[in-house]
Amino acid sequence: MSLFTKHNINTYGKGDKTILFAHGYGCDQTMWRFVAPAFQDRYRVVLFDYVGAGNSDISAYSRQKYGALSAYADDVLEIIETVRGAPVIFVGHSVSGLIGVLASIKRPEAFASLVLVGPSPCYINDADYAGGFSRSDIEALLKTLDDNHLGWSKAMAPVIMKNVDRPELAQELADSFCRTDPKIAKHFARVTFLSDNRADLAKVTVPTLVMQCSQDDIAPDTVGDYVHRNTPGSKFVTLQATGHCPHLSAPAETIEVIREYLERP
Amino acid sequence: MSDREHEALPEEASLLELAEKLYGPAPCGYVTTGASGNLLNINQTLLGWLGYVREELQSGVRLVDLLTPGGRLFYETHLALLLNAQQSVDEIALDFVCKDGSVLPTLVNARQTRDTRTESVLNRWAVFKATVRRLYERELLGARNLFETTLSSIADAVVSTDDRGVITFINGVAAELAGWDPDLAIGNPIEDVLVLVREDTGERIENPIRDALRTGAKVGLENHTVLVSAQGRTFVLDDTAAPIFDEDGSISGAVIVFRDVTQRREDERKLQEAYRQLEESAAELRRSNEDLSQFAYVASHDLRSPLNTVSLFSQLLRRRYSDKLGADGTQLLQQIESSTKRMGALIENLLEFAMLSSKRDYSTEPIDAETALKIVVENLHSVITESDAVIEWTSLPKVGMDDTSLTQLFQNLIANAIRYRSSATPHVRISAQREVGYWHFRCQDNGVGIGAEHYESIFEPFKRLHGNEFPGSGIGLALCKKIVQRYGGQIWVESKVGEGSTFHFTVPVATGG
Repeated sequence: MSLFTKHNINTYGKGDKTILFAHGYGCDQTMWRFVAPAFQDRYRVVLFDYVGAGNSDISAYSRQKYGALSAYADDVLEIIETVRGAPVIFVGHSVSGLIGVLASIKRPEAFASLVLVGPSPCYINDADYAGGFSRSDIEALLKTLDDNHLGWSKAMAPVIMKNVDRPELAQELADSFCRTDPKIAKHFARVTFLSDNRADLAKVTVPTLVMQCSQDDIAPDTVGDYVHRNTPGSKFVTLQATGHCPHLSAPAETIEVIREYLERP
Repeated sequence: MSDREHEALPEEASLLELAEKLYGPAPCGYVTTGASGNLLNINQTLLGWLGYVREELQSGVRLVDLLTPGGRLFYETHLALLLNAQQSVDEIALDFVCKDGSVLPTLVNARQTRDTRTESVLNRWAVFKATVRRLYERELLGARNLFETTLSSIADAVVSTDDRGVITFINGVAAELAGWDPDLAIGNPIEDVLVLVREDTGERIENPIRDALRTGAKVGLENHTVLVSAQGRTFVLDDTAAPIFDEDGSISGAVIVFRDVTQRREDERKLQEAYRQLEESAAELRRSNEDLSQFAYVASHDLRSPLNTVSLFSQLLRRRYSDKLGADGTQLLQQIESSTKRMGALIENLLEFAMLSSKRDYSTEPIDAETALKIVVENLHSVITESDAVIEWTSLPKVGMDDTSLTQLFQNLIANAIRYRSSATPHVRISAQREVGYWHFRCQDNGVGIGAEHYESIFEPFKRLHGNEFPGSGIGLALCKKIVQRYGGQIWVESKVGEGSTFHFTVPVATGG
């Protein structure tokens, strides 16, 4: 199977440098739709879906293989190789930030820089470390996924999306959103929220930007600060944008901060 | 309209007051949030459910602050994204946390409005209490898990489909036989996953699921149906399909249950083959037995007449020429006569044995064992008198054998007991004991006894332990065994050399006795 199919790789734009956008947990590459096009004039833009998400080839998914974030990091390296983009500017949201960190440790030469949007190396509180959640909170998330039919069959999942009045773009987005297989979504949630990659931050050798949102419930200020302090030579920016998805809620600010970093690292 | 209802909508109420009256105490919760999820408005109903007063939820409180941590994660990773993508979500399960820390399960609908001019965003949420519904859902999910776990651990293959024949569930056994990943098989038409062909022609056949969906009846597969797995392996199947009805009685899907009977089929074939071989051998054995009996019968019958001639002529010789033969010649003639006699007896026994072997119907008219014994004592009168033998018995039953057989049996055993006597006066005691379904006879003597190594072999024809030391043809016990076996019984001996023997045999009880 072609990797383009496996990961639903899309490329556009022109430029010598490649900018790779990696989506976070719970969504797919469409989440970058307000941000990525802004870079097409000066960069080659590459978008993809992780296996199990969006329009990726679901048959490539194996619970065993994707039992740890490092498997996703391997996929990122494979994608970079496939699009011949090394060294890439890697923009990763949420858990993808950490996937990028792991990939850059494996092969630093494949990365020009890392842009981490709302990263968290560990979501679970541990002694002095305030990740924001307890293990039972994560279990509660999984239960909520169940309650919202994601724990039910694939056939059932789209039911919650059916009441959309707008047939155009929104429907398409919603469709790709719910194409995420519910069982994979649950497993990815477990892998994402129960992983602890704090020790890996120190091994990063690639220039890194940490983008911290205001009032981010998933990756609170303290976590962003932790990532910044523990990632050698990283730069830290706090956005005015609130929530966990500045690329959706404040695309303009997000674009601006990334662009500025790329031009004046 | 009644007067009371008129009171509820006073004419002088302004539109705003009316709106507030509808909004505040509505039977569901209402919340309005801004772009960052901050609360802009919340109605009295929801405040009441959560146990807050309005003032407590002022400055910068966000909707996520009112959710459980799990709900907060779900909001950030799914709900907010979805709402932004499609501007509308319905029936989302969300757990709120009340002021007292208790959890309020709800269902929420939300609508997003965007002002393209000011880029401002408003999210309006309707919140419905779902405490009971959530319990039902959990129960249902639990039942589903139970059913999936059960079906995953049974040995049968199970696949269910919806009313279009699209797979909704497939258990591990079925997925393995079909060569599919269970997760990937779901959502595909049944024919794509379960490829069924006729065993003889390899022709594709219709999946029984289709039949069940069409007819609403339970259907079995035609025999000789073969499943071809995704990897091309084949399995012979045994299966049934049944429709699933919804509460209206219309067909909502179907389920097929099947198993791989390739091995069973092979075992059956082997078993049949073994049975056929067995029958063949049995028939052959019967044939050769009959041939042998026939041969023995003919042989002994034909031997008898020349022997009779020898006997007759030796008698004539003695009668007419004894004076010419002299003492020496007469002695030789006597030996000829005695040998002829012995050979005659041998042939007689052989004939008897052969006749017993050949097909004959044995009556099972009950015969009184005492009557049989009396006949035997009569028959053996001279040997008994000669040896002073004592033959005694205690009350004996009627048994399900014909009189000749039982008489033969007793006669052989008693004659043996006397023939193989020790120095002591022969003493034979016959008794019978009732056991389940048969009589257990014992024939005990005080003769020379038999070594344990001969317990089996003495029942073989022409097996003689004592050579010519004792007279006998060597066929008596073989004959006894044959008789007993004819009636489904057993015969065996217990003995100690020098102390005597006890012959045991079992015979059927008399019908009705």
